[in-house]
Amino acid sequence: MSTLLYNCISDQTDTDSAKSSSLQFDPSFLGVWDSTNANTTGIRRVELKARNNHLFLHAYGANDNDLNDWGDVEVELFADRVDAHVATKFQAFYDFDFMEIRIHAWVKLGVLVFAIFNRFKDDSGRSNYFDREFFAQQIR
Amino acid sequence: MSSVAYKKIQDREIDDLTLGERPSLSLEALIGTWHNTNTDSQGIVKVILTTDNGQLTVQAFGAGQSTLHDWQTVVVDDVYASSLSSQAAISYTARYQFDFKQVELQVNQSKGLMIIASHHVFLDGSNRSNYFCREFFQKAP
Repeated sequence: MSTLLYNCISDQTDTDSAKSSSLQFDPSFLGVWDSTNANTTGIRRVELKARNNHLFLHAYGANDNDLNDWGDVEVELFADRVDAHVATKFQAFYDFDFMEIRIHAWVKLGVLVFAIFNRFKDDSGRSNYFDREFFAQQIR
Repeated sequence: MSSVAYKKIQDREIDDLTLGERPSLSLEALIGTWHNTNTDSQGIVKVILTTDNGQLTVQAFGAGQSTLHDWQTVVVDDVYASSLSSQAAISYTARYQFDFKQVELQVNQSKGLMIIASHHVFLDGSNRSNYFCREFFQKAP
């Protein structure tokens, strides 16, 4: 049993199996994903792409006549367990002048699920709000 | 229609009349003791949410072999409503900084449950993979 520090059982692992190299992302993330809700007023499309073994998110918000391009951010990868070497979850963070958007994401049954934490930094009086969005992968 | 800055249409779906100083969100729905619905959880077993001088605090307890690990109480970073114009908090984020790892909680409520996504990032060079755990909690009566 591990002698590593922990504060919940899920932190523990055999020390041998903790000889991890860097976490690799699940390649099924890669591609363009569209919101399953064609009328969404939130995030309409995302693209996940690899660069130098890092995973990047490019998100597009709904806009009146086109898409609102948020640009690329590198995501932070997470496994399901301490001894797993494939990342099946990620989180991303967009920092705009007037708001921050924090996202955590995973794929379930072929659907990309986003939990979205919207925090306003301006004095507009808007409440910070939580939202979820679901995405289906464009057929390649 | 509002002329506020936005990154998606959803961010401007608010009546101009409600714009102004942001009111504090009601924390009532979050306050209480919440137990993991999985009695065999190896992650977070219980959280206690309360207020301290109007700020929301969370005390988490990790699963142990014979006793729980008390992570102590931290003030949450931010609280979130279900929409721009709602004034009831249904979500929060909080951060624990331990010597050997950092844990970020990203939490929302749905259908009476509190859903805690915990992001564990190791700082100790142990080569353990950072991991994500999503668990469900119900409020103690």
